[in-house]
Amino acid sequence: MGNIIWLSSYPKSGNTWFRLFIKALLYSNDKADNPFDLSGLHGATMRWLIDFYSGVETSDLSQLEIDNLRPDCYRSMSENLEELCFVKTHEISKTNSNKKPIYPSQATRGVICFLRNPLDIAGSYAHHFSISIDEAIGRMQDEQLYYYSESNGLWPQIRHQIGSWSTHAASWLDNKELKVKVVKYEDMVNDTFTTFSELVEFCDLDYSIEEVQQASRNCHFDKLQEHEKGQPFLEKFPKTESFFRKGKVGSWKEELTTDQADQIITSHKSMMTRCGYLTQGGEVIAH
Amino acid sequence: MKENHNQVENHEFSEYNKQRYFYYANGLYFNSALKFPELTPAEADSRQASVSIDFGFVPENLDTPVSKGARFQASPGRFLLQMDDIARFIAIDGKQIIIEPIGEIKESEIRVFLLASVFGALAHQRHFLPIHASAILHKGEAVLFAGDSGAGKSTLAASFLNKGYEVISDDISNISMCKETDRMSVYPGYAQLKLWANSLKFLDEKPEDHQSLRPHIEKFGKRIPYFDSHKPVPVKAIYIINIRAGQEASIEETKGRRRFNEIAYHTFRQKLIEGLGVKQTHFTHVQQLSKEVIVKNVNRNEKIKKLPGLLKLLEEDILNLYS
Repeated sequence: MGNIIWLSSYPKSGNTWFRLFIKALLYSNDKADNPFDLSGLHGATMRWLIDFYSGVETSDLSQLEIDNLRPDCYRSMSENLEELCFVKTHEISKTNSNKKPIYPSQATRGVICFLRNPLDIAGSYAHHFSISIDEAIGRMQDEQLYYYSESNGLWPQIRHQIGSWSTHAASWLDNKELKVKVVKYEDMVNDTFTTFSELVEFCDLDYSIEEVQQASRNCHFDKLQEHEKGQPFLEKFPKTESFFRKGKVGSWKEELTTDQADQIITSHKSMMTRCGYLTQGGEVIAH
Repeated sequence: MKENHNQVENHEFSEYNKQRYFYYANGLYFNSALKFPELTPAEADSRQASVSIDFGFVPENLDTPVSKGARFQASPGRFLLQMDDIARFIAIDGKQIIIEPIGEIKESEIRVFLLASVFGALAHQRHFLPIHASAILHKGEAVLFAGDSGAGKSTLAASFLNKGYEVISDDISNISMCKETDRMSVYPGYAQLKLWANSLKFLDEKPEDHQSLRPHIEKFGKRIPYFDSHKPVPVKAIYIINIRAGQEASIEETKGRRRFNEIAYHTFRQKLIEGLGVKQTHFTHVQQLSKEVIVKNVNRNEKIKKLPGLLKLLEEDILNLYS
């Protein structure tokens, strides 16, 4: 069993919110004045991380070579870690050209898979990348969606496949090699303390109820929003006003046209039903 | 295979080791069986060569590795690197590099990994402080641009080269105390800048005019003039380049303990330090360098079209170092 807990999610599904909570819980319970501190919590696709644990510069490798290197790299990372480590990824769960899982079981303690109603993601995604809602819906349907895929230069992250919302969710939910805990964004909003407590238990972390309550309070969405007015959040996209936007459940009703909502439902019907966002009859389930 | 190889086994490679080439780079003289167009030719005198490079058998594992990564193993005096389908490399005591090709010998591909990871490990073994930086010459002193991969170190060096500055080194800048000047000094590196297609476009150059470094990567080797001396150049300043999406270029001097931390962080292959057993030397070097040089943090926009503004700001700042 490895030392890494992968925090996997389609973008805008609560991954960062949970990382801020876990950081507050693990490292900085007493540093409530800087809730944006994410130092020490890394991203699986950060180039420097692959360089560091591989011993070679990924800038000298092809995309295919990098993906073939990554399982060994994460194993090395896990072996070098003295304690549990949380690593974020927006990538789908997949194998490389050597048929090896990119996220290997030997490196893995578990996976927390964050799910969010795609109807609510659309508006949040559009806001985050400063694109139209229609464009966001298009990207959410694109099974071949990759980030950092331009091959003419060097980027801080390596190329990685996001996929469509449905294929992304399926890739992690159907991963039988890893212990996957599914958590819904809607539950994080509606009952933050209980949901975070369940995740703390899944990670087998030894913290008291009071400590979890304190970390939850430090990372309450309203507090993060308020804090962002005075201190920009590093992971905010340049053109966007704020990272922590609404954080609400069901805001799609005000943001999407009927056609846009229908388009999302039609594209992702099967996975939305599986994840409890649609009834068998195709009605949206309110959370 | 055991770590100890013997002469009988190496006989298979003796043909490849007959022809010798002599080079200078990073404060070291090389007596090499492999031809390096990227390195400055040196006098054909094997007695002065500090490092030999030969083809031979390389073990698959070190006997007692202290640190391991996905493709490397390190122990005091030993660094092993394995690149699939290309070669296995071992650097021994900072004096010897052995290459065992995997499959047919792909010289240009072998050189890419020798000049980066293996020479980086060699630098640690020889008790240099290798900084992940490019360096240019100004008023007889060195100005370094350090940063993570993708920060723009080589593009900045190439841009300053176009402005008439000499480039001292790229990617790895080997530093140590120079007896003559009694200052921490950088040793001239390779006669090549590694640039991506978008950087060449920014420099108004065509990729087809340069050497493709590896298959399936739009990265090219731009030949630059050999630095005209093998003498180390005292370091004046280190600019740490950070990409900050959406931000305008800015420069801020780093003071106090943070200077030590920045230099330590930007040490090339810092993960090797413990494994190679050079922790104390590294600490002493970083401490000395942080005492002697100006360290500045540079925030740059991620877009290459914003580079002219950054260059202007940097050049003004470099000129002001002397005012």
